[in-house]
Amino acid sequence: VVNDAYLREAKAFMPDYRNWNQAIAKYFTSGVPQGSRIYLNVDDDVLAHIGQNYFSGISPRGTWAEDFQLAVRQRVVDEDSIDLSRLPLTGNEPSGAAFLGAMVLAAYRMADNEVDQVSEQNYFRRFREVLNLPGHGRPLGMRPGASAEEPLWRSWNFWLKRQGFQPTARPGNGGPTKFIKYPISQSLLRAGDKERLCQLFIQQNWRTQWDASTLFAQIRYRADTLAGHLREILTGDRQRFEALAQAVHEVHEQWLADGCPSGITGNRRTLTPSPHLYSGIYRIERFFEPIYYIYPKQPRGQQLEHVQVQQGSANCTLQIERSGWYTPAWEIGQRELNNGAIYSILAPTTLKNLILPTRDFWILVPDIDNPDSGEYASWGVPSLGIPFIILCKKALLSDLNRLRSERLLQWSGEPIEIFHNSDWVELQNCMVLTEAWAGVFIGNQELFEALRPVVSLSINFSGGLRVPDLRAWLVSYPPQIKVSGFYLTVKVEVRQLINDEVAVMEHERKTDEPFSINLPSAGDYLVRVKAEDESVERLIRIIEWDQLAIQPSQQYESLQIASFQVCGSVIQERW
Amino acid sequence: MAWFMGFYCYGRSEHLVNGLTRLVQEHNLSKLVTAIRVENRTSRKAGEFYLFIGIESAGINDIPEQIESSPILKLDSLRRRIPQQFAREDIERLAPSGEDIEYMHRLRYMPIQKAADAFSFDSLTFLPQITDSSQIYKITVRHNQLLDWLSAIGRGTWETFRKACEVLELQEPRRIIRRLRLLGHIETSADGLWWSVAPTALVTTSSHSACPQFILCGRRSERLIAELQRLAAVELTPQANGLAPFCISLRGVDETQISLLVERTNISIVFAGKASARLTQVLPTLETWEELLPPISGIEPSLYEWKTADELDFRAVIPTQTGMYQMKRRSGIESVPRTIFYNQQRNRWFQGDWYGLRFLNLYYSGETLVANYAPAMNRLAIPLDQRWPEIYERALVLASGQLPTYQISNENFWWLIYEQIEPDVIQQLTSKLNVNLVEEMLYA
Repeated sequence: VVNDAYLREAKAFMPDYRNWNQAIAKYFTSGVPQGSRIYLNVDDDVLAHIGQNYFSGISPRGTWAEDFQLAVRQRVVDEDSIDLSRLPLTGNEPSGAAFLGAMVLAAYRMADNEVDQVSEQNYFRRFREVLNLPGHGRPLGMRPGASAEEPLWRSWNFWLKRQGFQPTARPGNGGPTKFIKYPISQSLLRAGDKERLCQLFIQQNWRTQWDASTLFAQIRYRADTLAGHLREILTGDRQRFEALAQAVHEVHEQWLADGCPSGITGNRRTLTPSPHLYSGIYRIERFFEPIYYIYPKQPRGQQLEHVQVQQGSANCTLQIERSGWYTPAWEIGQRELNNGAIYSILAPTTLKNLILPTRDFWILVPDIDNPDSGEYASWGVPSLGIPFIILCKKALLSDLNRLRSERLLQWSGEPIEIFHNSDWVELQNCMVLTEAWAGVFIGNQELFEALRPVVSLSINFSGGLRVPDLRAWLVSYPPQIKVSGFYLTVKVEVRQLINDEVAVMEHERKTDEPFSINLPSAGDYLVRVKAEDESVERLIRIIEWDQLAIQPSQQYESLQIASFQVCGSVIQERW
Repeated sequence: MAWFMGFYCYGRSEHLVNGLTRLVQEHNLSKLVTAIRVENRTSRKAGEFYLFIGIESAGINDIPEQIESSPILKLDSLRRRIPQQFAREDIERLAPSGEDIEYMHRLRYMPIQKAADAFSFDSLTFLPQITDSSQIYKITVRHNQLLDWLSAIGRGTWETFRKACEVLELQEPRRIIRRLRLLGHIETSADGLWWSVAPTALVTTSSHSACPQFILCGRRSERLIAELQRLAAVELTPQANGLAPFCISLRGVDETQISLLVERTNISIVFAGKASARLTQVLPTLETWEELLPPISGIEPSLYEWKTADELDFRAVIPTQTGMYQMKRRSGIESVPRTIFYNQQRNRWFQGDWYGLRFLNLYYSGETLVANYAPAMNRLAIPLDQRWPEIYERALVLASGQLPTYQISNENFWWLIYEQIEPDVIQQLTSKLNVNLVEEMLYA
């Protein structure tokens, strides 16, 4: 949908609204795993990053943020008012992404005291500054919010769902701040937060190259010592933690790349993309024994298709496997798990190392879209109701047994020792059973945070005939649905999205019990689950059999017989 | 934070608990009121008891507004609150024999069960069920859908394949994947973890007609078949008993026309030639084939229980003789039996396809291996219980694009029948496999 050729062309001239719009949509969805929660977290650093990577090295007007603001202004500002009819809601592109980005930029620029007392007045003062609009309060052309910016937010959310991501932009509960909560919900770290984080790094002398979750656990542990908005977000909505951990990690990476400066000068360099790739772990069983692979993550906001890494004396080319991940690269053993590993990246030269972090545990979850494949990897936090694997050092077993005795966590069988005589064990078929984790304390806080559920309700799909490339299931073979959550019953609605939503079914269902639904024809269906005051949604796309195309991939298994290679009926001499 | 409020109560505890439960549910408080524990100590006066309410809130003694405003704490029975707050440990001490009444729903624990291997000594002989033609057609369509779907996916894990078979209600996925390999549609990795659909290929069959006949192997789609139908006479023939996708054959077309189609549609098609003869040529002798089978290193026999075809149960006896064995872990990991082969002379453990290992077992045990060939019909018969190693059988199946049929002889022996087998192919294969070739039909 977002046209690469168009973006390349845009490099040759000054980017306009459409260039920015496409670049923003691409930036926030590139290198991000499917199913991730997406925050339209536009700030000065993000705009600089987009400008450098998607357009050209130097901003035509001084800073990329200024360019961006001007492009949005030129598109939507008409004298002293805003004309949102210039951003059509139809079409395949989320035409409002850049405008909504400008709204988030205003939220990002709010000071701590403005965030503490969020008001329309405070917010729109910043928003008017972004668009260079005189006056105060909600601008002309944006009244009321329900018919001005809200349709754009809804369109952005829907576009994300269609791309396989989870939208996060939500309105407030009501009152005058209802609509400004949309942009505020998207801004993760404010300028002041970034400075406070750097102060913390200096104070704690955190010069170690941690991965995002380890760093985040360290910071959360000290959240009470931090002030203002930063403390609020570190102790607030747990659903934001994964994205927040990523944003915090970027700040830390920059601080390390700058040589760990010991003072905040006020002239903080613009955040540059990390020169490192980080690796998770991919696990599969060979003859019922687990084997683990290096599983490199793609850098967020970039689409580096081929990365060359030196592994021992060999060069290995990483290729994109799926959104957010490169293909599992090579097998690792006890040594790498114990000590972590650093591999040199040969190309592109903007990257330096591929890092497997040193960790005491790994949480390996099944593929959310293909839970039956037998593959497990560091694909994210465990989904409610879906068994996962904990690979950990034996020393953590006492903590894990404590969680089990509190009936927070369950697993099957005994811990399985891996790598003969090693310090590592696997706990299989792990499941979190409840969300009442408060009041339970274990030694390893990072493990606690990693296992503690972030949501109370989730929709899981399994079975059916899924076509991953099209993010769809085949007609007559839709997935089974299972709602997992800490409620006994939930209300399930399935609606077909044609021009409007058409109800397919509405039922009360028990949680934890898989059920099938009859989806009458090809199309997009929205599954919405409600329980008390919570609601979650997931999209199911159904396609016809004739939409199936032969997979062009050239990755074939084959049999080697002497100097011949046999692949199906094709027998070729190897050279 | 979870903590408990305590109350000194009088009356019938079950009435109070029922009333509280109703209020918690009516007021959607299950996330804040986590549990109730009733102390049932018999030493108190009749009708007196302590009751503890579990609260989830920001801090101890911080009663959430939703609870405050609900009728719960206004119940007459809860008037006498104990001034202190309690932790879970206190409750376990004060009301040790009590049972929590929980309001917060816990997820049901549902571990994943591992699937068993299809090939075992207990299912030595597979005989397809004979079904009527409409039944065969229906099963064929489902196999066809499976191959179309696999072609669109390209590559995946064994578990993905197994699940797809389950969704399409196709039984015994291990046998299905084996048949797809025989037909040149699919290939699997040596460790059986991965499958990938082979490239789309046209194989020349051993037809005697002047015009060449091709069969379609590997990746396919409805669109490809529609394109081929525009170009040539395309025939869709069900396999024996409907146990695989349609055999798609093309007549009245030559390589040049196909090349033009490839150019026009951008669909890649390989000309595989006479794949049966080519494969026959490159296949090694049985002894060399055994050497090529992937070894299994690091087997510590004492960690496993063992079983041969002649035994009913697994036993803790370490194998010493050359032969085919099933093994499973003695304890610890939930274990599914595996079939492997032990060559005592070379002290080597290795794996291979199930029928291949059985064939090797027959060979080492000195069994006479036979095949009957009718040159006039180009028809080959192999005893069902001497089925060849899979890669050799593939050479037979690719001759016609058809899986073997099953026939029973007058002596009540089952035979596998392969069609369009050229004399040169059968001479070479029987010689490589040490099979005695008899040029007559004994079974029918």
